[in-house]
Amino acid sequence: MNKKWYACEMHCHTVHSDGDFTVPSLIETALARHLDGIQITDHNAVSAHAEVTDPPIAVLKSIEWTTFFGHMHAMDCKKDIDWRDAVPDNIDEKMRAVHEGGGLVGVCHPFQLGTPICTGGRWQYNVKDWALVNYMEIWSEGCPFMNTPNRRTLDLWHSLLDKGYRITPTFGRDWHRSTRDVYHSACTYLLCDGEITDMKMKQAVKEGRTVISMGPLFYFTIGEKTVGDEVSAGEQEIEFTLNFERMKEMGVSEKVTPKTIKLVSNGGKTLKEIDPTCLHTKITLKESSWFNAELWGSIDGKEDCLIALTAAAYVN
Amino acid sequence: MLLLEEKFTVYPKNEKTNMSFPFEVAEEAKALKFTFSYSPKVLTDNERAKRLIEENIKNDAGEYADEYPSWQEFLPLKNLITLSVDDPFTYRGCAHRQAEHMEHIISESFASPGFNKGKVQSGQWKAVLNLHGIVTEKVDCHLKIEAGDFLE
Repeated sequence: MNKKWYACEMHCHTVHSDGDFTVPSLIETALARHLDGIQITDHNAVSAHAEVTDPPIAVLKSIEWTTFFGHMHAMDCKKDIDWRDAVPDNIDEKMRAVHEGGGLVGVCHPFQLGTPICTGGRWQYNVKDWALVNYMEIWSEGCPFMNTPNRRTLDLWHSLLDKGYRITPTFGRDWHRSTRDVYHSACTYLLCDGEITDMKMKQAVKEGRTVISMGPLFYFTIGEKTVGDEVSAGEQEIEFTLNFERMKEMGVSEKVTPKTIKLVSNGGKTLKEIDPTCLHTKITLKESSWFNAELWGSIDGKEDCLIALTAAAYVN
Repeated sequence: MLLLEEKFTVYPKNEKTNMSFPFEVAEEAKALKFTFSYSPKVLTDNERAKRLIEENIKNDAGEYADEYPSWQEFLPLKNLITLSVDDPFTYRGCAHRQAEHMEHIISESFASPGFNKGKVQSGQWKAVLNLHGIVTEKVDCHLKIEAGDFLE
Protein backbone atom coordinates (compact mmCIF):
# COMPACT_ATOMS: atom_id res chain seq x y z
CA MET A 1 0.00 0.00 0.00
CA ASN A 2 1.20 3.53 -0.76
CA LYS A 3 1.83 5.50 2.40
CA LYS A 4 1.28 9.22 2.21
CA TRP A 5 1.40 12.19 4.59
CA TYR A 6 -1.80 14.23 4.87
CA ALA A 7 -2.27 17.71 6.36
CA CYS A 8 -4.86 17.69 9.15
CA GLU A 9 -6.31 19.93 11.86
CA MET A 10 -6.89 17.92 15.02
CA HIS A 11 -8.85 20.35 17.23
CA CYS A 12 -11.96 22.10 15.86
CA HIS A 13 -15.07 23.65 17.40
CA THR A 14 -18.38 24.50 15.79
CA VAL A 15 -21.61 26.25 16.80
CA HIS A 16 -22.44 23.02 18.63
CA SER A 17 -20.18 24.38 21.37
CA ASP A 18 -18.50 27.81 21.38
CA GLY A 19 -17.14 27.95 17.85
CA ASP A 20 -18.39 30.31 15.15
CA PHE A 21 -18.09 27.68 12.41
CA THR A 22 -21.13 25.78 11.26
CA VAL A 23 -20.16 22.25 10.24
CA PRO A 24 -20.29 23.14 6.50
CA SER A 25 -18.32 26.38 7.00
CA LEU A 26 -15.64 24.54 9.01
CA ILE A 27 -15.22 22.00 6.24
CA GLU A 28 -15.17 24.74 3.59
CA THR A 29 -12.51 26.71 5.50
CA ALA A 30 -10.45 23.55 6.01
CA LEU A 31 -10.56 22.89 2.27
CA ALA A 32 -9.38 26.44 1.59
CA ARG A 33 -6.48 25.79 3.98
CA HIS A 34 -5.48 22.76 1.89
CA LEU A 35 -6.29 20.42 4.77
CA ASP A 36 -6.99 16.79 3.92
CA GLY A 37 -8.64 15.94 7.23
CA ILE A 38 -10.08 17.51 10.38
CA GLN A 39 -11.15 16.27 13.76
CA ILE A 40 -14.35 17.83 15.18
CA THR A 41 -13.93 18.16 18.94
CA ASP A 42 -16.78 20.22 20.32
CA HIS A 43 -16.83 20.89 24.06
CA ASN A 44 -18.95 18.21 25.75
CA ALA A 45 -21.15 17.72 22.68
CA VAL A 46 -21.35 15.33 19.75
CA SER A 47 -24.37 16.84 17.99
CA ALA A 48 -22.16 18.18 15.15
CA HIS A 49 -21.41 14.61 14.08
CA ALA A 50 -24.89 14.10 12.63
CA GLU A 51 -24.27 17.02 10.25
CA VAL A 52 -21.25 15.38 8.65
CA THR A 53 -22.59 13.68 5.55
CA ASP A 54 -20.39 12.74 2.62
CA PRO A 55 -17.73 15.40 3.37
CA PRO A 56 -15.13 16.30 0.71
CA ILE A 57 -12.33 15.80 3.27
CA ALA A 58 -11.86 13.21 6.03
CA VAL A 59 -13.76 14.19 9.19
CA LEU A 60 -12.97 12.38 12.41
CA LYS A 61 -15.83 12.60 14.92
CA SER A 62 -14.71 13.20 18.46
CA ILE A 63 -15.43 15.26 21.57
CA GLU A 64 -13.40 17.51 23.83
CA TRP A 65 -14.19 16.69 27.43
CA THR A 66 -14.16 20.16 28.89
CA THR A 67 -14.01 19.26 32.53
CA PHE A 68 -13.22 21.26 35.64
CA PHE A 69 -9.69 19.77 35.88
CA GLY A 70 -8.49 19.47 32.31
CA HIS A 71 -9.50 19.22 28.68
CA MET A 72 -9.24 15.83 27.01
CA HIS A 73 -10.15 14.51 23.58
CA ALA A 74 -12.06 11.25 23.34
CA MET A 75 -11.40 10.39 19.68
CA ASP A 76 -14.07 8.36 17.90
CA CYS A 77 -15.41 6.89 21.15
CA LYS A 78 -18.62 4.90 20.65
CA LYS A 79 -19.51 4.84 24.32
CA ASP A 80 -21.25 7.63 26.19
CA ILE A 81 -19.06 8.36 29.21
CA ASP A 82 -19.93 11.04 31.73
CA TRP A 83 -17.31 13.80 31.70
CA ARG A 84 -19.00 15.68 34.56
CA ASP A 85 -17.82 13.49 37.43
CA ALA A 86 -14.19 13.37 36.31
CA VAL A 87 -12.02 14.39 39.27
CA PRO A 88 -8.22 14.44 39.66
CA ASP A 89 -8.04 10.89 41.04
CA ASN A 90 -10.44 8.99 38.77
CA ILE A 91 -9.07 10.02 35.37
CA ASP A 92 -7.43 6.64 34.67
CA GLU A 93 -10.83 4.99 35.10
CA LYS A 94 -12.39 7.50 32.70
CA MET A 95 -9.62 7.00 30.13
CA ARG A 96 -10.06 3.22 30.36
CA ALA A 97 -13.75 3.70 29.63
CA VAL A 98 -12.86 5.73 26.50
CA HIS A 99 -10.65 2.85 25.33
CA GLU A 100 -13.44 0.36 26.07
CA GLY A 101 -15.65 2.46 23.82
CA GLY A 102 -13.11 2.05 21.02
CA GLY A 103 -11.79 5.58 21.43
CA LEU A 104 -8.36 7.14 21.77
CA VAL A 105 -7.39 9.60 24.50
CA GLY A 106 -5.68 12.92 23.82
CA VAL A 107 -4.50 15.40 26.44
CA CYS A 108 -5.18 18.96 25.28
CA HIS A 109 -3.00 22.00 26.03
CA PRO A 110 -1.92 20.67 29.47
CA PHE A 111 -0.10 23.87 30.51
CA GLN A 112 -2.70 26.41 29.43
CA LEU A 113 -3.82 28.69 32.25
CA GLY A 114 -6.90 27.19 33.90
CA THR A 115 -9.81 28.49 35.96
CA PRO A 116 -10.91 31.25 35.90
CA ILE A 117 -8.96 32.58 32.89
CA CYS A 118 -9.68 29.50 30.75
CA THR A 119 -11.96 27.29 32.82
CA GLY A 120 -10.50 23.82 33.30
CA GLY A 121 -7.80 24.52 30.70
CA ARG A 122 -4.87 23.49 32.90
CA TRP A 123 -4.35 19.72 33.19
CA GLN A 124 -4.69 18.91 36.91
CA TYR A 125 -5.40 15.19 36.66
CA ASN A 126 -3.23 12.68 38.48
CA VAL A 127 -2.62 10.21 35.69
CA LYS A 128 -1.36 6.98 37.21
CA ASP A 129 -0.85 5.11 33.95
CA TRP A 130 0.28 7.34 31.08
CA ALA A 131 -0.02 4.33 28.75
CA LEU A 132 -3.72 5.26 28.67
CA VAL A 133 -2.85 8.50 26.84
CA ASN A 134 -2.54 8.08 23.08
CA TYR A 135 -1.67 11.63 22.12
CA MET A 136 -0.78 14.98 23.54
CA GLU A 137 -1.19 18.44 22.07
CA ILE A 138 2.45 19.52 22.04
CA TRP A 139 1.48 22.70 20.26
CA SER A 140 -1.70 24.58 20.92
CA GLU A 141 -2.78 27.65 18.97
CA GLY A 142 0.48 29.18 17.76
CA CYS A 143 4.21 28.93 17.26
CA PRO A 144 5.72 27.10 20.23
CA PHE A 145 8.75 29.28 20.56
CA MET A 146 6.53 32.24 21.33
CA ASN A 147 4.55 30.35 23.89
CA THR A 148 5.50 29.18 27.41
CA PRO A 149 2.78 26.47 27.75
CA ASN A 150 3.87 24.74 24.54
CA ARG A 151 7.51 24.67 25.69
CA ARG A 152 6.46 23.11 29.00
CA THR A 153 4.36 20.51 27.14
CA LEU A 154 7.35 19.58 24.99
CA ASP A 155 9.37 18.97 28.19
CA LEU A 156 6.55 16.84 29.65
CA TRP A 157 6.36 14.81 26.43
CA HIS A 158 10.12 14.18 26.47
CA SER A 159 9.96 13.04 30.11
CA LEU A 160 7.13 10.59 29.31
CA LEU A 161 9.04 9.18 26.31
CA ASP A 162 12.01 8.74 28.67
CA LYS A 163 9.80 6.59 30.90
CA GLY A 164 8.88 4.40 27.95
CA TYR A 165 5.39 5.79 27.13
CA ARG A 166 4.77 6.03 23.41
CA ILE A 167 2.69 9.18 23.21
CA THR A 168 1.93 10.73 19.83
CA PRO A 169 2.46 14.49 19.48
CA THR A 170 -0.21 16.59 17.77
CA PHE A 171 -0.81 20.24 16.96
CA GLY A 172 -4.25 21.63 17.75
CA ARG A 173 -5.20 25.06 16.50
CA ASP A 174 -8.14 24.95 18.89
CA TRP A 175 -10.01 26.31 15.91
CA HIS A 176 -13.15 28.26 16.85
CA ARG A 177 -13.24 30.85 14.05
CA SER A 178 -11.02 31.98 11.22
CA THR A 179 -10.66 35.60 12.29
CA ARG A 180 -7.50 36.51 14.22
CA ASP A 181 -6.11 33.19 13.15
CA VAL A 182 -2.41 33.13 12.22
CA TYR A 183 0.03 30.75 10.53
CA HIS A 184 -2.57 29.28 8.23
CA SER A 185 -0.26 26.53 7.02
CA ALA A 186 0.43 25.06 10.50
CA CYS A 187 -1.00 21.56 10.78
CA THR A 188 -0.48 18.01 11.97
CA TYR A 189 0.66 15.73 9.17
CA LEU A 190 -0.63 12.15 9.50
CA LEU A 191 0.84 9.17 7.65
CA CYS A 192 -1.93 7.02 6.15
CA ASP A 193 -1.97 3.87 4.06
CA GLY A 194 -3.52 4.95 0.76
CA GLU A 195 -6.26 7.60 0.63
CA ILE A 196 -7.01 9.36 3.91
CA THR A 197 -10.22 8.46 5.79
CA ASP A 198 -11.37 9.30 9.29
CA MET A 199 -10.38 5.82 10.49
CA LYS A 200 -6.94 6.10 8.90
CA MET A 201 -6.43 9.41 10.73
CA LYS A 202 -7.22 7.57 13.95
CA GLN A 203 -4.88 4.72 13.04
CA ALA A 204 -2.03 7.16 12.30
CA VAL A 205 -2.44 8.75 15.75
CA LYS A 206 -2.62 5.33 17.39
CA GLU A 207 0.58 4.24 15.68
CA GLY A 208 2.44 7.46 16.40
CA ARG A 209 2.78 8.55 12.79
CA THR A 210 2.54 12.33 13.10
CA VAL A 211 4.54 15.43 12.30
CA ILE A 212 3.57 18.80 13.69
CA SER A 213 4.63 21.72 11.58
CA MET A 214 4.32 25.42 10.94
CA GLY A 215 3.90 24.45 7.29
CA PRO A 216 6.54 22.32 5.58
CA LEU A 217 6.26 18.55 5.54
CA PHE A 218 9.34 17.21 7.34
CA TYR A 219 10.07 13.62 8.28
CA PHE A 220 12.79 11.00 8.35
CA THR A 221 13.22 7.49 7.03
CA ILE A 222 15.72 4.77 7.89
CA GLY A 223 15.44 2.29 5.02
CA GLU A 224 11.80 1.17 5.11
CA LYS A 225 11.27 2.53 8.63
CA THR A 226 9.93 5.93 9.55
CA VAL A 227 8.30 8.00 12.28
CA GLY A 228 6.48 5.76 14.80
CA ASP A 229 8.47 2.63 13.93
CA GLU A 230 10.91 0.52 15.92
CA VAL A 231 14.44 0.58 14.53
CA SER A 232 17.58 -1.37 15.38
CA ALA A 233 20.34 -0.07 17.60
CA GLY A 234 23.73 0.69 16.10
CA GLU A 235 24.84 2.80 13.17
CA GLN A 236 22.00 3.83 10.88
CA GLU A 237 21.69 6.03 7.85
CA ILE A 238 18.86 8.56 8.15
CA GLU A 239 17.27 10.38 5.23
CA PHE A 240 15.16 13.49 5.72
CA THR A 241 12.39 14.87 3.55
CA LEU A 242 11.59 18.57 3.56
CA ASN A 243 8.77 19.68 1.32
CA PHE A 244 7.20 23.15 0.95
CA GLU A 245 4.70 22.18 -1.72
CA ARG A 246 1.53 22.73 0.33
CA MET A 247 2.73 26.13 1.60
CA LYS A 248 3.45 27.20 -1.98
CA GLU A 249 0.04 26.02 -3.15
CA MET A 250 -1.57 27.94 -0.28
CA GLY A 251 0.44 31.05 -1.10
CA VAL A 252 1.02 31.81 2.60
CA SER A 253 2.82 35.04 3.31
CA GLU A 254 5.04 33.97 6.20
CA LYS A 255 8.63 33.19 5.37
CA VAL A 256 9.90 29.97 6.90
CA THR A 257 13.64 29.38 6.53
CA PRO A 258 15.10 26.12 7.90
CA LYS A 259 18.55 26.50 9.47
CA THR A 260 19.17 23.24 11.39
CA ILE A 261 17.85 19.72 11.73
CA LYS A 262 18.26 18.35 15.25
CA LEU A 263 18.03 14.69 16.14
CA VAL A 264 16.74 14.63 19.69
CA SER A 265 16.76 11.69 22.09
CA ASN A 266 16.29 10.77 25.76
CA GLY A 267 16.30 13.68 28.17
CA GLY A 268 15.48 15.98 25.25
CA LYS A 269 19.19 15.96 24.43
CA THR A 270 20.35 16.75 20.91
CA LEU A 271 22.24 13.78 19.44
CA LYS A 272 23.32 15.55 16.30
CA GLU A 273 22.74 18.75 14.34
CA ILE A 274 22.56 18.59 10.58
CA ASP A 275 22.57 21.25 7.90
CA PRO A 276 19.12 21.10 6.24
CA THR A 277 20.67 21.49 2.80
CA CYS A 278 22.17 18.03 3.36
CA LEU A 279 19.22 15.72 3.93
CA HIS A 280 21.01 12.62 5.14
CA THR A 281 23.39 11.57 7.88
CA LYS A 282 24.75 8.60 9.79
CA ILE A 283 23.99 8.20 13.44
CA THR A 284 24.63 5.64 16.18
CA LEU A 285 21.41 4.74 17.99
CA LYS A 286 21.51 3.48 21.55
CA GLU A 287 19.51 0.45 22.62
CA SER A 288 16.17 1.10 24.40
CA SER A 289 16.09 4.78 23.52
CA TRP A 290 13.81 7.02 21.51
CA PHE A 291 14.63 9.73 19.04
CA ASN A 292 12.82 12.24 16.89
CA ALA A 293 13.72 15.01 14.48
CA GLU A 294 13.18 18.72 14.94
CA LEU A 295 13.48 21.37 12.26
CA TRP A 296 14.67 24.77 13.47
CA GLY A 297 15.05 28.07 11.68
CA SER A 298 13.50 31.48 11.24
CA ILE A 299 9.86 32.39 10.83
CA ASP A 300 9.18 35.86 9.44
CA GLY A 301 12.71 36.91 10.41
CA LYS A 302 12.42 35.66 14.00
CA GLU A 303 15.36 33.36 14.64
CA ASP A 304 15.51 30.12 16.65
CA CYS A 305 11.97 28.98 16.00
CA LEU A 306 10.90 25.37 16.07
CA ILE A 307 9.44 24.90 12.58
CA ALA A 308 8.48 21.23 12.73
CA LEU A 309 8.80 18.19 14.94
CA THR A 310 8.27 14.52 14.20
CA ALA A 311 6.79 11.90 16.51
CA ALA A 312 9.39 9.53 17.93
CA ALA A 313 10.90 6.33 16.60
CA TYR A 314 11.93 3.70 19.14
CA VAL A 315 15.25 1.88 19.23
CA ASN A 316 15.05 -1.78 20.19
CA MET B 1 -46.58 22.73 30.63
CA LEU B 2 -44.17 23.86 33.28
CA LEU B 3 -42.12 20.92 34.58
CA LEU B 4 -39.66 22.73 36.82
CA GLU B 5 -38.82 26.26 37.80
CA GLU B 6 -36.08 27.19 40.27
CA LYS B 7 -34.46 30.43 41.29
CA PHE B 8 -31.31 30.07 43.32
CA THR B 9 -27.92 31.59 44.04
CA VAL B 10 -24.48 30.02 43.65
CA TYR B 11 -21.20 31.11 45.18
CA PRO B 12 -17.45 30.72 44.47
CA LYS B 13 -17.40 27.71 46.83
CA ASN B 14 -19.68 25.93 44.30
CA GLU B 15 -17.15 26.38 41.48
CA LYS B 16 -16.09 23.13 39.74
CA THR B 17 -19.22 21.30 40.84
CA ASN B 18 -22.42 20.23 39.06
CA MET B 19 -25.96 20.93 40.20
CA SER B 20 -28.47 18.33 39.18
CA PHE B 21 -32.18 19.12 38.64
CA PRO B 22 -34.17 15.91 38.08
CA PHE B 23 -37.64 16.27 36.58
CA GLU B 24 -40.36 13.87 35.46
CA VAL B 25 -41.68 13.73 31.94
CA ALA B 26 -45.01 12.00 32.56
CA GLU B 27 -45.94 11.08 29.02
CA GLU B 28 -44.07 11.29 25.76
CA ALA B 29 -43.86 15.00 25.08
CA LYS B 30 -43.33 16.63 21.71
CA ALA B 31 -40.51 18.84 22.89
CA LEU B 32 -38.75 20.14 25.98
CA LYS B 33 -37.65 23.74 26.41
CA PHE B 34 -34.88 24.67 28.83
CA THR B 35 -34.57 28.35 29.71
CA PHE B 36 -31.62 29.29 31.88
CA SER B 37 -30.10 32.60 32.81
CA TYR B 38 -27.52 33.74 35.30
CA SER B 39 -26.28 37.11 36.45
CA PRO B 40 -23.87 38.82 36.65
CA LYS B 41 -21.78 37.55 33.74
CA VAL B 42 -18.74 39.76 34.15
CA LEU B 43 -16.67 40.58 37.22
CA THR B 44 -16.42 44.36 37.37
CA ASP B 45 -14.55 44.60 40.68
CA ASN B 46 -10.99 45.05 39.39
CA GLU B 47 -9.39 44.53 42.78
CA ARG B 48 -11.00 41.10 43.03
CA ALA B 49 -10.14 40.35 39.37
CA LYS B 50 -6.48 41.24 39.98
CA ARG B 51 -6.32 38.87 42.94
CA LEU B 52 -8.00 36.01 41.07
CA ILE B 53 -5.86 36.41 37.95
CA GLU B 54 -2.61 36.66 39.89
CA GLU B 55 -3.53 33.53 41.88
CA ASN B 56 -4.48 31.75 38.65
CA ILE B 57 -1.11 32.54 37.04
CA LYS B 58 0.82 31.69 40.20
CA ASN B 59 -0.93 28.31 40.55
CA ASP B 60 -0.84 27.27 36.91
CA ALA B 61 2.40 28.79 35.65
CA GLY B 62 4.51 28.34 38.80
CA GLU B 63 8.14 29.19 38.10
CA TYR B 64 7.12 30.48 34.64
CA ALA B 65 4.73 33.11 36.05
CA ASP B 66 7.09 35.94 35.08
CA GLU B 67 6.71 35.02 31.41
CA TYR B 68 3.02 36.03 31.44
CA PRO B 69 1.63 39.49 30.77
CA SER B 70 0.14 41.64 33.54
CA TRP B 71 -3.24 40.84 35.07
CA GLN B 72 -5.04 43.55 33.06
CA GLU B 73 -4.39 41.57 29.86
CA PHE B 74 -6.73 38.85 31.12
CA LEU B 75 -9.70 41.11 31.83
CA PRO B 76 -12.60 40.70 31.97
CA LEU B 77 -13.09 37.60 34.10
CA LYS B 78 -16.44 35.94 33.52
CA ASN B 79 -18.69 33.48 35.27
CA LEU B 80 -19.29 30.36 33.21
CA ILE B 81 -22.21 28.03 33.85
CA THR B 82 -23.23 25.56 31.16
CA LEU B 83 -26.36 23.42 30.92
CA SER B 84 -26.19 19.72 30.13
CA VAL B 85 -29.12 17.33 29.83
CA ASP B 86 -29.71 13.60 30.41
CA ASP B 87 -32.80 11.74 29.25
CA PRO B 88 -33.94 8.63 31.21
CA PHE B 89 -31.35 6.55 29.34
CA THR B 90 -28.45 8.65 28.14
CA TYR B 91 -26.60 11.98 27.89
CA ARG B 92 -28.35 14.32 25.46
CA GLY B 93 -25.69 17.02 25.18
CA CYS B 94 -24.54 20.36 26.50
CA ALA B 95 -24.46 23.98 25.46
CA HIS B 96 -20.87 24.90 26.21
CA ARG B 97 -20.67 28.59 25.38
CA GLN B 98 -20.49 31.94 27.12
CA ALA B 99 -24.08 33.21 26.80
CA GLU B 100 -25.68 34.04 30.16
CA HIS B 101 -29.24 33.80 28.78
CA MET B 102 -30.06 30.61 26.97
CA GLU B 103 -32.99 28.73 25.56
CA HIS B 104 -32.63 25.18 24.26
CA ILE B 105 -35.15 22.87 22.67
CA ILE B 106 -34.93 19.11 22.40
CA SER B 107 -37.41 17.20 20.25
CA GLU B 108 -37.55 14.28 17.88
CA SER B 109 -37.05 16.36 14.76
CA PHE B 110 -34.93 19.20 16.13
CA ALA B 111 -32.45 20.00 18.86
CA SER B 112 -30.63 23.22 19.66
CA PRO B 113 -26.87 23.16 18.87
CA GLY B 114 -25.02 20.98 21.38
CA PHE B 115 -27.96 18.62 21.97
CA ASN B 116 -28.93 15.41 20.21
CA LYS B 117 -32.37 15.31 18.68
CA GLY B 118 -34.53 12.25 19.35
CA LYS B 119 -37.67 11.10 21.09
CA VAL B 120 -38.64 12.87 24.30
CA GLN B 121 -39.23 9.72 26.32
CA SER B 122 -41.25 9.64 29.50
CA GLY B 123 -39.36 9.04 32.71
CA GLN B 124 -36.89 10.90 34.85
CA TRP B 125 -34.77 13.46 33.01
CA LYS B 126 -32.02 15.64 34.50
CA ALA B 127 -30.83 19.13 33.75
CA VAL B 128 -27.30 19.40 35.09
CA LEU B 129 -25.69 22.79 35.52
CA ASN B 130 -21.91 22.74 35.21
CA LEU B 131 -20.34 25.48 37.31
CA HIS B 132 -17.05 25.92 35.44
CA GLY B 133 -16.13 29.32 36.82
CA ILE B 134 -17.70 31.49 39.55
CA VAL B 135 -15.69 34.69 39.87
CA THR B 136 -18.20 37.11 41.39
CA GLU B 137 -19.24 36.95 45.05
CA LYS B 138 -22.54 35.38 44.08
CA VAL B 139 -24.45 34.49 40.94
CA ASP B 140 -28.25 34.52 40.69
CA CYS B 141 -29.68 31.77 38.52
CA HIS B 142 -33.08 31.05 37.02
CA LEU B 143 -33.87 27.67 35.45
CA LYS B 144 -37.16 26.81 33.80
CA ILE B 145 -38.10 23.58 32.05
CA GLU B 146 -41.29 23.21 30.01
CA ALA B 147 -42.86 20.48 27.91
CA GLY B 148 -44.91 21.33 24.85
CA ASP B 149 -44.80 21.95 21.15
CA PHE B 150 -42.32 24.76 20.68
CA LEU B 151 -41.55 24.24 17.02
CA GLU B 152 -43.23 26.29 14.37
